[in-house]
This record gives sequence, structure tokens and C-alpha cells, in this order.
Amino acid sequence: MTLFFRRLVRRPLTLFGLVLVGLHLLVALVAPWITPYDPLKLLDAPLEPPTEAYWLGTDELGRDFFSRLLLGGQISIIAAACAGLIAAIGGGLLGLASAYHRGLFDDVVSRLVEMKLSIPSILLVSLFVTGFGQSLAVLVLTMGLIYMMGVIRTSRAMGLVILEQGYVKAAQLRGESSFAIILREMLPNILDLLTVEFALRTSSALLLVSALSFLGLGVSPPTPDWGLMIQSGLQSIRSEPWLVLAPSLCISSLVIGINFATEGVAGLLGLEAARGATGK
Amino acid sequence: MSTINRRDLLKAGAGAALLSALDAAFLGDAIAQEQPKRGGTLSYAQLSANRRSAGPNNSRHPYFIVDANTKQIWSTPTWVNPELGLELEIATKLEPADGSLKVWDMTLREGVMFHDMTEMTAADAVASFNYHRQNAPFARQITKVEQIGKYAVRFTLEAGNAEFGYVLAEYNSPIMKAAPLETIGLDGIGTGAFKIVQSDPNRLMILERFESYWRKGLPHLDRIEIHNREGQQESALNGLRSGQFDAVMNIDGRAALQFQNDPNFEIETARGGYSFVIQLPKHPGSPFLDKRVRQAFAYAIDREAIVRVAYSGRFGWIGNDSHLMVTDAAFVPRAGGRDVAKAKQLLAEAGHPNGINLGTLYWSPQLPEAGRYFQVLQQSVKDAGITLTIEERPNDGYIQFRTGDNDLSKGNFHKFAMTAVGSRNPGISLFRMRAAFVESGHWRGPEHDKYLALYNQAMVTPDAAKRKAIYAEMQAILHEEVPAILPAGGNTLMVKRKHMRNMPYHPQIWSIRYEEIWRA
Repeated sequence: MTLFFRRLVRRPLTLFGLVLVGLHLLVALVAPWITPYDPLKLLDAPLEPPTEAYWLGTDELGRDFFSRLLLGGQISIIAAACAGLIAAIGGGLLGLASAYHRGLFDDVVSRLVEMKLSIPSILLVSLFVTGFGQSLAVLVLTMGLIYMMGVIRTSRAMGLVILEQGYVKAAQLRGESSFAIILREMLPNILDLLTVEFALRTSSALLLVSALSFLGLGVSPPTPDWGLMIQSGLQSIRSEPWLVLAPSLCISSLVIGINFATEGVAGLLGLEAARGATGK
Repeated sequence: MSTINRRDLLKAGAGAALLSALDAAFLGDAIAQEQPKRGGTLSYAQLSANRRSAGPNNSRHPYFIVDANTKQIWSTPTWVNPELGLELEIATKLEPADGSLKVWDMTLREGVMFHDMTEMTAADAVASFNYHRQNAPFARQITKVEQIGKYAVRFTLEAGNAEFGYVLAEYNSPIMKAAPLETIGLDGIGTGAFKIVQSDPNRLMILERFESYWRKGLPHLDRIEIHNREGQQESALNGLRSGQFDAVMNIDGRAALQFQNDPNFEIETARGGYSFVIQLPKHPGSPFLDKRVRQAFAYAIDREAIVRVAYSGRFGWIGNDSHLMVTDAAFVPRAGGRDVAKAKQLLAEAGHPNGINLGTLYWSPQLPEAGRYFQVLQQSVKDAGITLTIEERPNDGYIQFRTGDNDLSKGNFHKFAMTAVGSRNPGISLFRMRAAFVESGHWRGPEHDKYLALYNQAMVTPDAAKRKAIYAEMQAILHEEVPAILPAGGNTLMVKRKHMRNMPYHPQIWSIRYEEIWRA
């Protein structure tokens, strides 16, 4: 562990990424207690410039923009992390099962994955959200399902390698069930890969949630959300550019942070090859 | 505090008079000397679409193109001017045949040509209105339409209608070339100032001048290109800035303000426009069955805040929970204004002393300000203990989503949802609150029956002043009963480049006279 941290210190970008992610998580966690105003309350005239009372001015409805900015990442981070988790766990298990069973099961799963990968994610999520309603649960499940496909591919590839290992053969000879072998022998050996996958999928999901909110298909107003804030600030971009710039900066800093951190951690875990495969 | 005395007032008056005289003498002359030029193209973006799904067969039918463009291609018997007054258009005469106001005789203008150079006659009007009375909501009152001369038509209505002339000015009342009901209108041939060159529904429409248009010397323009940018206001405005478009129609007031100091652009505002109806479903189990809940909701909404925030305080008006526009002479404001205490008291009387959750109010971005509008509404009713969730739905398929199949026997009912409605005369506007219409939330009961009886009385009252008095009584019933809520409305706005002349905006966007626009 000490060696791990010593190597981490030698990677400033990774450290920078971890600090960024840490800061964002901390703010999202404590935001309800540190916001100066109720983020939903109409306090003053719309589009007031930054003042001592309102550090970033008021938004298009007269709400404190700084308070909304602090809370704006909460929903997106939760939704993206849940989707990333569903994708990593579900995709990991399915990929391993596919590698273990091969045959028809493998064929069906692989073709489904290929089919999905040929359709743009944003289109699929839009269809699901329009069809099943604009709720956070639908959004999270759909994103989880979509990002699962990429994870299936990488975990299947790793599964095929692990399958040839002696301890898997031994478990088979002991007569253990396929479920037990996948869960006890194979899954622990791809946990580092799944951790990287989780981080990468979370960062993609974060961008997707923001894009959907921007398009009016993600988080519903008046919930403070960065994507929504960019969308509503767009009308005033010439006169009050900070209404677009500040939430954009928040999204990009978080995504950059996650990517730097993931890149570094994957490198430290010796997963560059896997990172290369998942990054596509 | 400063005070104004009589001397100051007289001085100010004299100054204003001098200025206005100078204005008339110099500026007025300058405008008068500027003769309309012939030729050129008007390219504009519009932010509204047609909710009907067009296909290759019907993309040129007047019912499937965007309503705002219908009258560029087709003419209607009458026209509504920007003050919402009625004028004759290709009809030269329209009058009731008797005192019942049930039978109306119309004489058409002679020598009006269709785009295929055949003359329009009464046969075309009869064929067109036989189609409209089956397909257009306002024309359903026509029970019979018959030809009584080469240019003369007789309409028989199911009941008297003193304001029938307005029905003939609707965008769904164009005169099409006579054809069987199955094919009428599909050829896209009208008698309007422009003819269709290309129609890609809800995307692009290209029109060219019709040389034999019945208004001699018009149109001034050679060509009109209409680009649809529904829900993409920023894209439309970028097109305007870059010179791709000469104008953007139905722009949001907030966005329009960006152009107010730019010397290349002008903001045109109509005296009226749209308002949002919130339909309150009254099916069994709905909280809106209780009149006190509806009243509390109406009292709790901060309508001034909606106008201030959603319409920048300049481009909107406070609604009175009827479909009438504030500039309509018959409009009667709601008495009392916002009253949170009264709203709380009404809720307590209705058995909700700790407030009430009204569920989800659905909205769609039919107009750019809708998002701001409903967020202010949601926030303002919180003060009275009313909680509601707002959920945005896409424009596509919104009508079906909002209205459902409206069959209570199957357990289906329309949603607690909004829709945008345009400006119309009182006869049409107030009829929208009848029980049979979804926007009233299927309001029923003795007060509704009284409302409808008053409406029927107004419709057979030829005297406009007497009708206005009846309309006031009807609005009083709406204020008390609150079958639906219309909190506020906005004026229609357009931003255009200054080289487009004589392009004033209209509260009914389908009644703009494009033939009179010219390019400097």
C-alpha cells in the first residue's frame, strides 16, 4: 500500500484528478448545509449581477445562482454513480458468464452488445425517457443498461483469460456450480478492472445526464442541475455569461478529475491495456 | 418626493405636442416618401410547429402545414385585424339571413384566381366548408353549406352565432379548390399571395409570389423561406445574427431584449398573443372536484411574478381564468388579486388544513417562456401550502398525452396539464370552457349550465354592447367556479432585421399580412 501511495505521489495529474473529484464529492455532500439561500426560492429580480448578497448573482427566475451551483452536482453525481455501479456490476457478471458458458448464451449476449454499440447512447436514453417517463429511476436504469454493454465486452475478454487459470480448473474439478465459480473464483480477479470501468462509466454518465437535462429530458426543473442551468442560462449568454460558464466549468472539472484519477489509478494497477479497450 | 404642478404639466404637454408635430412633419414624411420595393426574399425562422403528423401525401394540405403560414397560400372569407376586429377578405358580403343568426349568406369576390389559374367560385367554398365542418373544431357548428349563386354561399348553423364571421377567419377555414372530401386540399393550391414551391413539414417551406393574386400590386416579395426551429430558439437567433434569417417569429421576451439596443434589428410586439391554460381534471377522486381547491389554487398563484419573471414585466399580462386576452374589450379582470390567506382558508374548509399535494402538472415547451412560467407558478403556490411537481414532456405527441382518449368509462381521463391558446374573439374564446371541451376539465354542474345558457343568449344577441354585458356575467361565473386556470399571457414578439419593412406583428400569428411586407 505504501508503494502504491509513493507511486501515486509521482503522478501529479492523478493527484490533481483525485483532489478535484474529492472536492466535488465533498461539496455535493455538504451542499444542503452550506448554501446561503434556499435554491428554489425566488429571492430578487431575475438576472441580478454578482453582489455581496448574491455571489454569482441571481438566475433567470431570481434565485440565488451560487446556492443552485453548489447543489447542482448532487443529482447528477448520484445518478451517474448509480448508473456506473449498475453497469460495472451487471456488465462484469454478464461478461464473465458469457466467457464461462460460451455457446449460444455467449452468442446472444455478444450480438446484443454489438447491436447496442451501433446505436448512439443519447438516442437510446431519450427513447426510454420519453416512453417510460422522465423519472430519475428510469434515467439511472437506462444509463446503467447502456453502459453495461461496454463493460460486458471487457469483462468477457478478461474472463476468457481467467478461465484458463489453474484455480478455475480446480474449482470445476471440485464440482462447484458455474454461479459459484463466476462469483468466487473469477469476479474477485477482475475487481480492479471493474473499479476502473465504474469510474469511466460514471464520468460518461455524468456527461450524459447533463446533456439530457440540457435537452429537457433529464432532471426536471426546478431541481438545481448543472445541465439544466446551462440550458436556461443560454438565453443570457451575451449579457450574463457566468450563468453558462460556471456550471460548464463544474461539469468539465468533475469529468476531467474523474478521467485523470482513473487514468492514473488504472496505470498504478497495471491496467493500461484494459483502459485502452474500455476507453473506446 | 417630487411633485408635479399645473405649470410643469402644461410645459410638458406643450413640449410633447411640439415633438409630435415635428415627428409628423419630418419623420412621417420620410416614411411616406419611402415607396415599397418589389422583389427579394424574406427568410424567417418560426418557433412553432404543427402537431399533426404530415406524410408525403398531405404535406401541402392546409391542415398539415404550420398554422402561422396557412394564409400566405390560402385566403379565408374574412380577416381579423391586429385589434381583433373583423374585416372582409375574399368575401365581399357576410350577413345573417334572418334574426335567428342561424343562417348566414356570404358573397365571394369575383375574379379571384387559384394558383392553377382557375377562378374561385361558390362551389369551391362549399366543398371547402364541407371539409372544415367535419375536421375543424370551430366549423363543426355549420350543419349545412350550400351554393345559392355563382359567388353566393349560404351557411346554416346548429344555433345562432352573432360572431360567426370570426369562424370564417380561422386558419382552418381556407377556401381550397373543390375536390372530393378525401382529396380536397392535398394539391396545396390556394388563392393566397404566395404559392408553394417546396414543403418539408415542420422543417422548411419555400413559397414564391403568385402574380395573379386578387389584391392587385401585391405581394411585394418574390419569395418566402420558412425555416422551422421549434424548441431551438438559440439556433434561430444565431441564424438571425449571422444573416441567415431576416426575422424570428414568436420569440421569447427575455431573448428579444438582447436586440433592443442593436441598430440592425427591431422588436415588433403585438397587443396580445398567447396564454397558458391549466386544465384541472375533475374525474372521480380528483382534488379539483372540490371548487374550494380550485379557488385556492387560483388565489395562491402569484400572477404578477409570472409576468415579471416569465415576460420580463413588459411583454405579458395577468389573466383572468377565461380564454380572453387582456386587450379584448370584453375582458374583466379577476377581483382581489393574489390572496394567500384566503387560499389557505379555502383549503382548510376543503379539509386540507396542512396544505395539499396536487400531483404532477405536465408542461411542454410550446413557447420558450414555458419553463420559467411554470417554475414561478410552482414556487408561488407553495406559500399557500400547495405542493405540485412539474414535469416537462416533449412537444411531439403532447396533445395525445395531455388529452388521453378522454374516455372516463375506460378509466382514462385527461391530465393535469397545460396548453397554449391563441387570441380570439369572445364568442370563440368563451366557448372553450364548455363541459365537452377538454380545456375546461369537463366542468359540469348548474353553474356550467348557467354559463352555457348565457353563452347561447350572447350568440343570438346581435348588439355588441349587450353581448359584452353577457360576457361579463360569464366571466364572473368563471372567477367563482374556476373550471380552469389561465394565470397570465404574453404578447407575441418578433425580432427582424430593419431592412424588412411593413412587417408589424399580430396577436394571431396566422393573420399576419405577408403580402404587404417588402424588403428595402
